[in-house]
Amino acid sequence: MVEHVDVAVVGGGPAGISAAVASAAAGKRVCLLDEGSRPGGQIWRHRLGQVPDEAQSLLTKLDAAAVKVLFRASVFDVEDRQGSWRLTLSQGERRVAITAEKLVLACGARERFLPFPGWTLPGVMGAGGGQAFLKEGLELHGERVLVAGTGPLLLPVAASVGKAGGRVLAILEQTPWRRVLGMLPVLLAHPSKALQAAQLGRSLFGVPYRPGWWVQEAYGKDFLEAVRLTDGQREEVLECRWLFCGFGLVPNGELGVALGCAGTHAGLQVNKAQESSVNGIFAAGELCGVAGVDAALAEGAIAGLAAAGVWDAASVEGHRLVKARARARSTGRQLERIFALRPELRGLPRPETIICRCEDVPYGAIDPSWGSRETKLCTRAGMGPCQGRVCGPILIYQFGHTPDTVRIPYKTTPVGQLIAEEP
Amino acid sequence: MADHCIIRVDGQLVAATSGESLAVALLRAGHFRFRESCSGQARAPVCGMGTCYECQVRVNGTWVRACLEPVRAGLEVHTDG
Ligand SMILES: Cc1cc2nc3c(=O)[nH]c(=O)nc-3n(C[C@H](O)[C@H](O)[C@H](O)COP(=O)(O)OP(=O)(O)OC[C@H]3O[C@@H](n4cnc5c(N)ncnc54)[C@H](O)[C@@H]3O)c2cc1C
Ligand code: FES
Repeated sequence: MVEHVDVAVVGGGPAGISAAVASAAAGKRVCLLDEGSRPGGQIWRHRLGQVPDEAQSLLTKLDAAAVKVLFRASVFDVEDRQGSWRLTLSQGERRVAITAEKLVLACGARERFLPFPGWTLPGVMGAGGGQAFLKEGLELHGERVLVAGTGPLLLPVAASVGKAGGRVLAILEQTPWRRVLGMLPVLLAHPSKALQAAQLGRSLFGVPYRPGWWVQEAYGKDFLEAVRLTDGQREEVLECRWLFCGFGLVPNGELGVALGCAGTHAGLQVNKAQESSVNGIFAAGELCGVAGVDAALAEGAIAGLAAAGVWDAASVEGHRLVKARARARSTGRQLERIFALRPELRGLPRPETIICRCEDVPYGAIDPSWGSRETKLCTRAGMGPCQGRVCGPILIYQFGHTPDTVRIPYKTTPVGQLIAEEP
Repeated sequence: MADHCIIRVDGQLVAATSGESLAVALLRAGHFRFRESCSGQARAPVCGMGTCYECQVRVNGTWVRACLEPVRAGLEVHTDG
């Protein structure tokens, strides 16, 4: 049986939950879908039962709202049925179909990884990735940890390492000091963020924060043992067990792009009501460009109201949401400038350094004169299960590739489900 | 309340908590070689959110991403370790 709803929301992070709650409050039948096994997306993860305070009120509203929530549901196909959308999802062994009048895409963002010799060693993981595992209960028992990459996310990651019993050797921030200082006006304009930063600063007391430094190479046999770092002039080698390294976030725009929504790899384009260039498809949150949880919450609510046909920018609530969105987006743009990637990072991979981790394609196998299609066809880079979600942004950064067209299925799906009869 | 359970990883019994991420349970138990890449390198979780597929292991015979897989009592897990 195919279930029919008024609004289907893809992604159960702050943006998606906020959209689902808003549409449901307007009396619509709503379905919220997420790949994970709990609501909250990338930010609100927690060990069983411990809901973070700031998430509590929204999650309570979601529980109370008449929203059908499907977890462990990867949306792998969406079809335009002239006036409605048909979504196909894989849920464990099952294949499920849902039709919806309107779609809200809230697929969030993923971490950007950059290749350097040794980055594929066990023990090297993303900064946000490490954060995810720490929030879910990874314990570190005094182990030596280096946090590296770029962006404000490195600070809460280092704090979590400390809380989990790890010893943070340093936080390496690739952006130089003079640009990091550009954070001051941002903090002054946002007292609540300044307070958070001060609290973080206290929990990180004694941890060296080193702007202008980055990782050059990771060493180890079966597991990470040491890391060589540099500021472009000096070099140091630090023994460590874990390296949590991430270079900001990349929007998960694939589903929207495949549906014909205008946008770039920096995010989907939307109008003031969060509607994409395709009629009936709305988008909200990190998927429209990286701007943090405040943007996700405001945009989600606007998208949910607009998808329900009741968005009114002139109402009191409308005013509040528009203002919150503008503020968060402007901060997002400032942070993007401050934490722009330095060109030296392009010079890190050696010919044997793996670029595509799924297909083990080394840097030296890619001809810099190739475009993304040729690279894919000649080397299989981007053809593995992650479908280029890791190496795609690397190829864009490293060789200036334009993103390739998106294939269906959007998500790696068991073959049996792809060829199954229509449910 | 933490709900402890036992799973079997490459034939050995491992204590875990029901509902927690299988990737965390494996890392805690000292498994750092989740899958072997096509050129034979050891790989372990990277993204923690279902994107990179480096955490793939077999659970009761099917490939899953360990970071998205909740632990249940009696899981039969095979890594490439
Ligand atoms: C790994 C990681 C860790 C982070 N940690 C922090 C932190 O500690 N503190 C902080 O302030 N910010 C953190 N951030 C940033 C934070 O994620 C964002 O600010 C905020 O969560 C954005 O909300 P969102 O709703 O737009 O997206 P998200 O929270 O990313 O939610 C998107 C959801 O969509 C789902 N999804 C995507 N595609 C599909 C599909 N095809 N089918 C089904 N479901 C799908 C995903 O499973 C996900 O749950 C982190 C980001 C990442 C990537
Ligand atoms: S750690 Fe990346 S998919 Fe599980």
